[in-house]
Amino acid sequence: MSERRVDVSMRRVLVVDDDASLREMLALGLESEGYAVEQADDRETAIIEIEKFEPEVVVLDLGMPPHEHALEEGLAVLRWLEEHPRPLKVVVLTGQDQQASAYEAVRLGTFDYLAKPVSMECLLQSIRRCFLFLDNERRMRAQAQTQRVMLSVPVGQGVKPVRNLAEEKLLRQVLEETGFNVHETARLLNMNRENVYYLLKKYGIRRPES
Amino acid sequence: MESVFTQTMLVIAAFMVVLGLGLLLAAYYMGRQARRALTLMDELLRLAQKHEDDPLLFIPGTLRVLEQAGMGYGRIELRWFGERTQFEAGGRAVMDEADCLVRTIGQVEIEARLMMCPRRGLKGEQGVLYAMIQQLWLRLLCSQVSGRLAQLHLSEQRLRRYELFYKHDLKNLAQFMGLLSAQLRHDVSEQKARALVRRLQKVLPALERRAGRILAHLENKQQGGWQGVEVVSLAERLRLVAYELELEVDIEGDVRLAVVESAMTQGLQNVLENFRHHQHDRRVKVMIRETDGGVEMTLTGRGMTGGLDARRRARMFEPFWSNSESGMGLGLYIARQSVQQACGGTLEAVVLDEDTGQWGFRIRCPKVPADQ
Repeated sequence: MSERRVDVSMRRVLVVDDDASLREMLALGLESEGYAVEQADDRETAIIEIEKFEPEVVVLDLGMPPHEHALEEGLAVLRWLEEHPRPLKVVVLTGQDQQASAYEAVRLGTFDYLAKPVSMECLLQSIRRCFLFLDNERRMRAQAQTQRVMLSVPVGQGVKPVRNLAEEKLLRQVLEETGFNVHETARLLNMNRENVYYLLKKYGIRRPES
Repeated sequence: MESVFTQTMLVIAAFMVVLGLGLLLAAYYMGRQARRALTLMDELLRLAQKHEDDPLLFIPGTLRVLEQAGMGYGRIELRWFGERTQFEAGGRAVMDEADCLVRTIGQVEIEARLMMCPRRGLKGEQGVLYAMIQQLWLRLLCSQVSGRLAQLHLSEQRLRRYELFYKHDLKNLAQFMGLLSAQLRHDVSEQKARALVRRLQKVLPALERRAGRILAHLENKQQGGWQGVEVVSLAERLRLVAYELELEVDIEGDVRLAVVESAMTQGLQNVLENFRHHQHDRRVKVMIRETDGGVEMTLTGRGMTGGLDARRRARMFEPFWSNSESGMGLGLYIARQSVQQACGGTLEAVVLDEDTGQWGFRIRCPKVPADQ
């Protein structure tokens, strides 16, 4: 929400909540633990901050304007992250109906789910777990050349849809990582550029508008 | 003798031919009328489906069919969640007024008052056809109105969901308190204390208003009505609500008025939330002035042009109807009730400038004598 230089030496957390008082208090709590914190109050700002601030953890409220009392806006951020995968973890922190919101959040790949009100200690534990997983996933990538891909796949339809989903997800991840550089993506995936173009067409992936 | 017989036979044969032709013509005519009836019935059912059994669309969309069936004049007054809309068709010479159908369908929130008169000279099978189409139309309208009223009844359940909004506010408040207490639990250095106080200074006004809103809602629930008449500055109240909703308000004039404060705040908040959802620049122009009858407040925005027809106006205050992705479509419906409870006033959507089609919301509160 504000112009700020990113301090890469600090671990970055984005707090997304439409309640200004709560957002400020969460930010204060996290800052006093040594995290670099940015804030967003709606879906649009959250996406801008994810691109600009490159947070490693997003603490996400689901009910935001214009749908303060429904799940749509928070889930839209999760859906956007599904299409633009990046190395970050999402902790959903919401006061919405737990039964419905937890299912949707898990379905869309959230890392942890906390129901308001939650203690600061509990939130910090969750954030620490996020960093633990992120660090080890990075290590896997660096040491074992293994990329972790999370998939929600249909059961009982054979392995073809599973293969396609894995292929698409991996491609999206590498494209995001390389800033949509097809040449670099092909190199990282050990493929021909033509094959990358074929897959882009197959999965309807378009170059993001600058 | 033989010629007489032949002549008689010829006459009979001619009579039989004429009779046969007459019967053929009658059968053809009846067939045509039956096909016409079928076409009109089909058309009515198709339109009912097309308009998704919505009386506000069904009535104006089907008057033409009634005219085709033989209606000379028809007038329908529709009361739609506090708004009145009138539809008229025909204007041809009609039969005696005693032959007109006059009926009221629905109740309170949705009510249709009908007057439908057949065309003059409509008799026999044409009269039967008109009566048949009119009956079908009435049945369809009745079922649509009952359906809508049943929906409204069911929407109490959704209103209970609206109650959850306050619980959501409450959860956020509890979360805030929890985080604040976590900050204070440890030894607070001077630097941390400064940061904490700065942040509190920034967020406390909004927090106080949120807490006030929750409290007002709970008290209102407990006491079964709005409490606490206060003399408030309307401009000041509006600024506070706008600030909370992050809207910019340009206010001209002000009046201090005795109102049920919590109800007025709720009403203003719901109206302004509408601006928040629809006005991209988040700016609201407000004019407050005293009139002969009391106090009038108009609220408008840049995008509110192009006039306002009766149907759109009726839609605005319909519960659970929204032309945007925003909210549940309850805001203006509740706002109208809140303004009524706040000062016995009214909330309407009105055209403010006929030339430009600029429209806005108008709140009117009647003048209350000093001793009351």
